[in-house]
Amino acid sequence: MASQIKTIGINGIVGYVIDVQVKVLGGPFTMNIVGLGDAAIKEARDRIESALIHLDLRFPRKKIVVNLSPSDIKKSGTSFDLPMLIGLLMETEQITPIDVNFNNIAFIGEVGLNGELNHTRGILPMVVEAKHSGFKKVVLPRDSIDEASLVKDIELLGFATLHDVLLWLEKSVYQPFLEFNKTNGKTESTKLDYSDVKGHNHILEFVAIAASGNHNMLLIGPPGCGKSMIAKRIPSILPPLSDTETLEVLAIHSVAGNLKQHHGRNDRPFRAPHYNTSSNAIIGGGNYAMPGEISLAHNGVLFLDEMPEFSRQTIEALRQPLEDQCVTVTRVKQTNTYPANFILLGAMNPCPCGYSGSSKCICSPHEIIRYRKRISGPVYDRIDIQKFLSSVDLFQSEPSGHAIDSRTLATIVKRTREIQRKRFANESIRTNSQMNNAQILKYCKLDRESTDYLRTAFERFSFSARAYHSIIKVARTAADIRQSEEIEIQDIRTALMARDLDKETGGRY
Amino acid sequence: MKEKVAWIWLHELKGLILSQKKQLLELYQTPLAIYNLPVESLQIRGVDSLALEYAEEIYEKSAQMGVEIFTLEDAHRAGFEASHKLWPLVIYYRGNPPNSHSVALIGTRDLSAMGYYFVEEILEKMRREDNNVYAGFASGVEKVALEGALIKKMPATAVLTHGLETCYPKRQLRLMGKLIEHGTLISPFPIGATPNKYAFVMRNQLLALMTKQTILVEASLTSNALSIAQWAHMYDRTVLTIKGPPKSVKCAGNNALLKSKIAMPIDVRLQQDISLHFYHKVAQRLKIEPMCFDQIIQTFGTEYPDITSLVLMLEHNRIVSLNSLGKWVYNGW
Repeated sequence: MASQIKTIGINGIVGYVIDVQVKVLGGPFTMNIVGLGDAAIKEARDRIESALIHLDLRFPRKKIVVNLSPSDIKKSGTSFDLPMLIGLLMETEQITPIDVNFNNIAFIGEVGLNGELNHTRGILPMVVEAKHSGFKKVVLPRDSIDEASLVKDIELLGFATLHDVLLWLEKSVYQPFLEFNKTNGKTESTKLDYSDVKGHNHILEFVAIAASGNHNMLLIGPPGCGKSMIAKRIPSILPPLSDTETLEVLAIHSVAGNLKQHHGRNDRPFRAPHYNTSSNAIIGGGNYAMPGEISLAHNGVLFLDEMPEFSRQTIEALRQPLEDQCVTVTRVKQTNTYPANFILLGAMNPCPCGYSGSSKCICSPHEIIRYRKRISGPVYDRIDIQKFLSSVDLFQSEPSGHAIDSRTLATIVKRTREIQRKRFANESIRTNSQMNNAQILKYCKLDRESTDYLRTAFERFSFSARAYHSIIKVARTAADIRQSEEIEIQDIRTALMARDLDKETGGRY
Repeated sequence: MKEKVAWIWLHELKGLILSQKKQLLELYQTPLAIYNLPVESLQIRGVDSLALEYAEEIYEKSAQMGVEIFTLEDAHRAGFEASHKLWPLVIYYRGNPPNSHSVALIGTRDLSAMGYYFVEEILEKMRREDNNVYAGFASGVEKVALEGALIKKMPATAVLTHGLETCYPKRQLRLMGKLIEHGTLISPFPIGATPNKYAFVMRNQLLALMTKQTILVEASLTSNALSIAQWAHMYDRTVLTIKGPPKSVKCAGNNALLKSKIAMPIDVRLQQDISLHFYHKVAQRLKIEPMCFDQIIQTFGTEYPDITSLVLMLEHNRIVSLNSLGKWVYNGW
């Protein structure tokens, strides 16, 4: 009977249990790894042979078959090295484990040529799946413990070398891993504060709405007016990630292989790709359908500075994720669906030269129209808050007591998010921006005055149905900020004030 | 041959000008009689039977599209002052037959809020006097006049610059549908004719001819609406307009017509609450200088604590609006 060792594979950010079956047969010396493994898995043969020789263990010169079951799912990565090696040792009776129930343990890890265990990407979703599948223990590289420790209620055994693993299996010797040094949660982005922003108090009201309800936002203004400054400070007012959100975020970053770059466990991701970034990098892609920036921004913020400078293909590809809060990346080797629930923050100039409205502007009306058209109507339509910013007069003194800091805004956002958490406790959504039409009808009842006001605006500005619902959602968030159960006309007014771009035709008949 | 086909034949006939065709009608009474004359007696070069085939084609296509033929004879019977030399032999229409008790409302495409409210007041006055509203089909004054008339269930007629099977501009397709159902569409051009710059001149002349009165609501000095007013004056129709502030660019055309005595002033006033909004402090300040919202808050935030609601109220009433540069502007004269 073949040896059977359990491990976990990942498909996107979702793990699944894999049985590693090892059988030594008679016949010429080969090691065949079957089960649709990629090149990295097939190369495991050499790593395993080298590690065994390093530990003075025998690598049998017979026909060895390793099956990764289920065999009809494509597998990739080097995390299968350890279970294959353990399975081989069990099959050749080179180790005699004591008091080990292999059905309750998952083995994960890459094996180096000298028998060291190396970290691989995707550890977190693997451990999450191990817990869901009922495993009691997970054996993994010591370097992966930091990441895996986010999952509670499962025993994690971290080992630096293969020798330590064998020592534990045969003699139950285990050196516990010391606590890692947690960061203080403060990152570069959270040190920025809105008290640095002068002269845009009106806009900050909408920033609070965007942060509270997870609404997308577009800032339009001349160079140097503060668009990027306002955008970069949004993480300073967003509430910390909940445990569930943390797992989601870290799972994606783990799969992408850049978990160490995600500073601060509880900080919401803030991704700001350059406009030269390729469409695949933004949306997701590559041979193995890896997550893109929009998934790395899940539960956080995606900031697109100079938004019209992004390629048309990239901007248009945002349509589906903005609507569905997920993105499906299809490649020859793999198809994965990643979550992509983020706040889209865009910044742009009003015209190509950026100085529209001032004497410096050299753009013709046609050039301005062409520039604005780089972002299509359907994408504009999906942005709930669109605000013009003006240049700031730095020499004009701020009225006393009017400075707004991040602490004040963060308190408002936190309180408003709590209201939404209670509201959607029995729903699959977390924030107002995610409401579908049925939920809007349920949670956003309007009085007669508000309905009439909205109807007039709807006809006057030719709002789309999507824009109409967006206004109601923003009004819901505005009412939540006021801590009002009912949406009143002042909230509708606030929401209508949020759509500057839609009103450009308001003066025409 | 059907009589209407004969009318179309005579109307579309090349080689004779309108006055000559009308002289022939005076002599021979009907187009059919003219058609039966020998070609030599007409002394026309290039007239052949193709003209009749073309007329028949127009008639059949018109019938398929629901386009009716309104001849010069029909115009006389309907009470129009159709004796003018420029009145066409045939007018095409869809919807209700043309009504002679009519007033033309004309003006700029770049209509201000003040012009919008004046259109409303004038329409109400016309409704009380049981007048038919005539207008072109452009955006601005004409579009608002036609839509307003339909809402008030008044007879409304649009005079077009092309064949009645198409819609120009396309964005007014819905208005066209409503006019076919509840009003009238008129054109001096047969099915298949596309708009061109000469068509606009002919349309303007027809609009001036078909109405007893022409009211110019709002026009700058460069507005094409002034030419309609001038045509109406030339055709001895009454031309009225609204006197605007002396220095206003938006209604400089109104004042020019009054000054040159082409038009007389019309007695129409805005409703008091709307008038107060136009003269509101914030609105008057935006008249002098468009401002972004932050500037409005800085300037008026202390005096008006609920400045957001105030600006939205003014926007709701069309007094101010946000332009493409992100600044709030005044929409009055």
